[in-house]
Amino acid sequence: MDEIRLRELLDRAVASEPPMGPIAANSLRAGMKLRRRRRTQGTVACLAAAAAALIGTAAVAGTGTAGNPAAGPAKVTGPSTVYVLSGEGNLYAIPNATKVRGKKILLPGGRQFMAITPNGKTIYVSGDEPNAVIPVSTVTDKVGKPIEFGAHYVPTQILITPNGRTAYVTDIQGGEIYPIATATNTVEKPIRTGPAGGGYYQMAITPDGKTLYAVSSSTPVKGPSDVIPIATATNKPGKPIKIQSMAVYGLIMNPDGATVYAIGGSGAENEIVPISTATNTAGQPSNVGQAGGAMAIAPDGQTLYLVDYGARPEQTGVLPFSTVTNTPGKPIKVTGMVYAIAITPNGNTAYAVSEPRQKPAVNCTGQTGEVTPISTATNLPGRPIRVACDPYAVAVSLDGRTIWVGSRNWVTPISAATHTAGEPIKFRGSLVAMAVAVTP
Amino acid sequence: MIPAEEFIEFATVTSPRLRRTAFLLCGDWHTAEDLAQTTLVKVFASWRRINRKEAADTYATRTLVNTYLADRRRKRVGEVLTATLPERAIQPQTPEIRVVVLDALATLPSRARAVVVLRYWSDLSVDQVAAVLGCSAGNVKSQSSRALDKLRILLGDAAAEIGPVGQQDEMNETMGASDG
Repeated sequence: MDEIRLRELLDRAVASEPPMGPIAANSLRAGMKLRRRRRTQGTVACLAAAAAALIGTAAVAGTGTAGNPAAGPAKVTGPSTVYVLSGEGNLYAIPNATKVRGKKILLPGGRQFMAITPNGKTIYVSGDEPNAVIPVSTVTDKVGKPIEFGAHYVPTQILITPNGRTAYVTDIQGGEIYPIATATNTVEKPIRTGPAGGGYYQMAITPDGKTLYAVSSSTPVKGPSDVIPIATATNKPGKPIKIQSMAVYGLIMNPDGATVYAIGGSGAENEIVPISTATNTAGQPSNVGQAGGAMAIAPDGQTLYLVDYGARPEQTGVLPFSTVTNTPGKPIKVTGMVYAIAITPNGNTAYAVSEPRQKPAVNCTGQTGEVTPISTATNLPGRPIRVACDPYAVAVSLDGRTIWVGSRNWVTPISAATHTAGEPIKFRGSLVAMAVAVTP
Repeated sequence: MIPAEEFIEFATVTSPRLRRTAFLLCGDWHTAEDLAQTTLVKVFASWRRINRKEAADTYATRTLVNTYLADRRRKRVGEVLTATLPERAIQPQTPEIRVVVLDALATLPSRARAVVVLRYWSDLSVDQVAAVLGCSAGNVKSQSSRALDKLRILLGDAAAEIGPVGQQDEMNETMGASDG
């Protein structure tokens, strides 16, 4: 009813539509000119990439997968730093040891996603205006030259290989995946694994870094979808794995590397499909109702925790899914809309962040958000911890002692031992991404 | 069918929807026509690479939204914000609602406005909007929830003043429901 009424108002807003000009014919003429211009630019870009490859330096070494949620839980240990990114391009570093916010690093344009190399030395941030991935040195706070793919391509998700040598970037427009050599910050040959408009949206990588999996959704978004395995040694796509029953929205790798799980929907409800990485074949789908979107997998790989949007507002929570039996467990009730979930490195506790307030305020003030600890042994929720309003992201420090919760304008550290919130740290802009990495 | 003919057919069918979507995004028919045309130019430039023509519609929607967001960012630098809105020419059809809705939409941040238009006018699901904007489903839900809250405040009061008898209750009832 709510949506119908708003739709009616929007319909009335467009009711005064004036006659339209010859858009189709004009577009055809202008499009032909643009094509010719792009062809010329493409030749120049290829020559520049070839020259950069000739003067490239040694590759960055590193282990683990910090900052790459799709690659499974972090394996790096040691002092860590949490990085906070706002949509306005403000990037902040907060060392776990001091919990004091560093100075703002201002990035150009609108930024949306980030990923951090396993050695914690470089952050890659994607966004638009410029449509580019921007490397940032966490050692010097220096913002590098934007890595561009073309004026009309918008880089989105970034996944860095466990050895830190390549950052794979999806582009929601062109249907290609761009590998960036992190040693030289140059774009290697794009991987064409489907048609333009295919909508690459998520990636996952095996723990040994040998195979990257990417989603190519068809339109309408109800599916079917292709999950495409890509050998990282050659960057050549393999035979697409057909997921007939649904459009895949997310991928998550089991830490054992034997299975990658595709989560998606076919309309009203969502499903999980296990894909064997040994044979690249899809198993039987399992219905998970309204669960999907944000998710986390336990370090032992036996349980997936999915945010459950619920059929009704009072049914929101977290749905545990056994990867052993491929069946959903009993839903875990969490008050309010759950936005993110994370699991401690020892696998004992999952933390779900939610906003219980039914009507979000225009001005975000006060401690209205909540973090609910969930015992993974019993799948029972503990007492919620209050945090700043509109919590949107959660990450765990590498030592597992601090839970970092990102709200709209605040970051709150929470002690994993006492489940008490520390002093919230304010930042400028609205949070779009948060990640933990080893302190360089 | 040769590509140019195929594209013309696609553009002819799609352009009205693109222009209306663009209008709800930018609030001005002239800019909307420019946005729709720029979108179709970009789509044509990539036409041969769009092998699955059923994907062209989504491709065009993504291009439109990205063009609008880029346009907004460019204009933000040169725009002067004022406390009062400029006068508008009287429109023959339901002028009050049209103006009130557009003014309310104009108060939303660009991405939130795109979320509202795509979800509630283009009828895309949360996941579809997430795919178009290249963000997570949680981000879409969060943005649409905040946007609806703001629209409920703005449109609720306005509807009470200009709507016919009985419309206020319906407005309050409908805009008051939480966003799922």
